[in-house]
Amino acid sequence: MLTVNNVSKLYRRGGREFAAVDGITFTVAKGGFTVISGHSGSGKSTLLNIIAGLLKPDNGTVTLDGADLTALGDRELSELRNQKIGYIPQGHSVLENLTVLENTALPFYLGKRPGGGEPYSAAKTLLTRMGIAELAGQYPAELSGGELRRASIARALINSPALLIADEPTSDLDLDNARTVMSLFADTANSGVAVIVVTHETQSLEGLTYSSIKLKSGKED
Amino acid sequence: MRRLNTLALSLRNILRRPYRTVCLAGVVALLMCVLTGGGLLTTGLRNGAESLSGRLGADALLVPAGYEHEAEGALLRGEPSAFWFDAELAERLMADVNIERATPQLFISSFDSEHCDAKVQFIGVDPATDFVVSPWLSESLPGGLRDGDIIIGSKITGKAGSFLTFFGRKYTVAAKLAETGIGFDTSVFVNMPTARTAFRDYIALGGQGGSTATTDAVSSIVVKVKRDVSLTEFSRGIRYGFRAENVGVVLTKTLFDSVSRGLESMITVITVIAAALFLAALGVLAILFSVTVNERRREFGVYRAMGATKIKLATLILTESALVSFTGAIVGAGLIALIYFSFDTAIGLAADMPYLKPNAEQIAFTLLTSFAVSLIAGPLASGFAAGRITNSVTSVLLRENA
Repeated sequence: MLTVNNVSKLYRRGGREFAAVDGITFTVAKGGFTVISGHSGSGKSTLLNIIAGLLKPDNGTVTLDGADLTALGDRELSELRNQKIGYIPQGHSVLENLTVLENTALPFYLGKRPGGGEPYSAAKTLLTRMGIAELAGQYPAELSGGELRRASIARALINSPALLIADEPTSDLDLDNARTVMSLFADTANSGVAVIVVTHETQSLEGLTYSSIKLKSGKED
Repeated sequence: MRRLNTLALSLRNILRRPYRTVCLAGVVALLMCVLTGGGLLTTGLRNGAESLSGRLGADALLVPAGYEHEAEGALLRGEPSAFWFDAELAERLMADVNIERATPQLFISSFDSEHCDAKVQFIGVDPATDFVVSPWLSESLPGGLRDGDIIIGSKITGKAGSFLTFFGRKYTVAAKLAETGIGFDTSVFVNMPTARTAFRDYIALGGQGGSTATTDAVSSIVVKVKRDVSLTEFSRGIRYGFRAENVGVVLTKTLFDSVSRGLESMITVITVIAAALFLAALGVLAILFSVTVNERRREFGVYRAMGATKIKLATLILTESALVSFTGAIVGAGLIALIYFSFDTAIGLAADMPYLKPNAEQIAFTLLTSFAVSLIAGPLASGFAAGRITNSVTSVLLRENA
């Protein structure tokens, strides 16, 4: 379903070129739960951004359901991201001026919807699944870090994506909350969605089944 | 549940920061006020100049030397003035060989006392010879001026059928003139017999300079010069031929040219101020929008990560700025309407030039034009910030304040 083939990304720092990601290749099947780990600066986020189509690699290809992300223009790539990829950025990403329910429904309105429809009933179902249904009408400022993260996951799932990507989703959470969030990802994978999570800690993953990719200086360790 | 389309999202975003939105809208409101105010003032001055041009159907005014300025003041601004020729001199002037048509006028300045209802300029015209005032007076009073009737200017309180007292005598208001934007708005027109009666009352009540005047005196001779005579030649001829009698010549072309020059200067000043403010407003808006957009880099990154295209992002930013501009322009329009309609008379007086209030069509045109310019100011100013953010790498945007 997702094929990452020999992907590299070069950066220049202090006049010297270095590879943030260097020849990474892997695949993730439908329903697969893949964890990319590594120390800070190992290239995890760069790789994730390339997979999400947010960053162009210098070499290699990323194919999702047969579509080569590296060859698409902005319009097609944005549409694909909206329809097929649920992306959870590092840190808080819930928009302050919308309620939790509106935040969850938002991606529905950012893409083409030729058939119309409305996302709010699906959004409510997702918030229930995430255990924050009672917070639907609240604004992000009133939520805790764990609740915000769960709202982000609900939002990433609203368009029923084939691939869910999360960048350091537990970085600012205590262990209990981190375990809850990781369990939600595992559940999502079990529902048939391919899930890729980048993390620098694996304690919260204890007891869960997942594939692991460890990065060190841009290469698979 | 509300649809989260571009307009709804933009509204939410601008309401999130009310103080900044008010500041941004305030700049646009100020721009709208200046553009509309400048436009209305310019239009009013142009109207005044056109009105003056249309009513100066003569080539020259002959007045006692030294009173040229008073004659201009009476004509342009309705400043009450009183000066006279002897009737015999007036007859000789009107008989000048270079003159094709001539008609006398008698100016009497009313008193600021219980003898007069208003301080105005009384102008006596001779319907038999008049070729300047009568044609447009007849628009208001087709039957012409009867003895004892007065036609009052638009700014004099009173209406047709009412009575006004001047020099202790009651006169019937036969008609009220439409606004002209020049001195005629504060003038009272009467026929020559009525003017003579008023003049006798003026002298009897001790009016200034009245002791030296005869009751058959005239104040000015309004002249149409023969076609084959140049105005310079005519002017020189009068000054030389009547040098002993001290006759002054006011050429209406010179007067109009002077008004036109003043008008053009004022329009230039207004245009420069409006253009400078437009650029300054654009600069301020561009800075404020740039700061706002910069603060929201991560938010825009999140939009992109959720699948918003570059065009969608730019549309969101431009819609926000258009909404701010729209609000500012509406507030500005309300403010300028309040200011303009409260002080339109004072504005005309402050201009110290012929000023005729713009009509409804001109006001609507000025408002719409200023509104359009104010409306585009926001999107124009935010265009650069929008372009910069949409061309940023999304992964970089997402790193901001993560």
